[in-house]
Amino acid sequence: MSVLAWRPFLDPLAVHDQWYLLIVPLVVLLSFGYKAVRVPNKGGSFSMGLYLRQAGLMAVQVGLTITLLYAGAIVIVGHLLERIT
Amino acid sequence: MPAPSSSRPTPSITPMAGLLSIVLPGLGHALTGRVERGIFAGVGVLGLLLGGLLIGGVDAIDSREDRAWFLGQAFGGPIVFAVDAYHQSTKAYPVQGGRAEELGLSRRTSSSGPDYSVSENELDTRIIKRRIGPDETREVVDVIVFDAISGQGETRQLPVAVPQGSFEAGAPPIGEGLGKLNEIAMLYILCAGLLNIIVFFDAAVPTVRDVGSGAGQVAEPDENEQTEDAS
Repeated sequence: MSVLAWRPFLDPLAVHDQWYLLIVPLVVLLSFGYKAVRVPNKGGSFSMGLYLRQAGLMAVQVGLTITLLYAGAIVIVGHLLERIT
Repeated sequence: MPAPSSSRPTPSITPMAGLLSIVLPGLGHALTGRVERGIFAGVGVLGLLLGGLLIGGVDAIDSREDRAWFLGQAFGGPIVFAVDAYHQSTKAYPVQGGRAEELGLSRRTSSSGPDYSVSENELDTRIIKRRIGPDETREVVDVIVFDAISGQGETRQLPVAVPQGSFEAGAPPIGEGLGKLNEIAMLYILCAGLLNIIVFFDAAVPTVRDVGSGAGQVAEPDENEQTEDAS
């Protein structure tokens, strides 16, 4: 018989108020996973420094883009549409 | 003698590496000697996959209710299919009278034989399995399935969500993912599946460039070999 109120990987987390923080690990994992196969070799071999630099840069770029899109959606949906309709 | 830079080496295709990358992301890269890339690619794909399951639970993968999402999630490999199979195994057919205005299996008043009956047409088109509620239990029972045209019935064993009226002691049902968290969890696993497509192709047909080698130059898949000049 289960005695846990929340069972990891079976039940969903209860962090509805902090859902936006979950975008951060999504962006980081996506960037580091993508750059692992796309970063070029340096001197004929895999370069950890180059990989971390490019993956970090991609993570920052994607995160900023998502944030700007979110802000733009708030402006359009929350304000502009009200004035149009 | 013609300049060697005009002829590009043909990338070697390694189908086994691609297949291994589907089974376990990163394993294909390890097979072709690119261990670091394999490790980080595997961490990325599996991190997204397990992160999605941690956030949304098993409900983040559902091939029936979220089919569009599942088409992308499926590229994540056998783990996705295994989780979905487990998720579907926890569902059951509803019964009439269990929840208000819900279409379900009909209760039989006969004192002998199965307790439930349903027409085959309704079973195929209108009544679908769903997750059980906290006041229900999942039981596999005999159900008479009638053919609407001939009227003949056959007995099948189907999982049924039987109302209990109160919470039963034992393992509680799988928690239902709702709202933004469920969507974010599905997005995590979808990104894992799509990223694994890139990992698959890179494992099967490695085309890694060297820094400063210029456009169009393709390095040998073996990282220990020298690359061609950019000129």
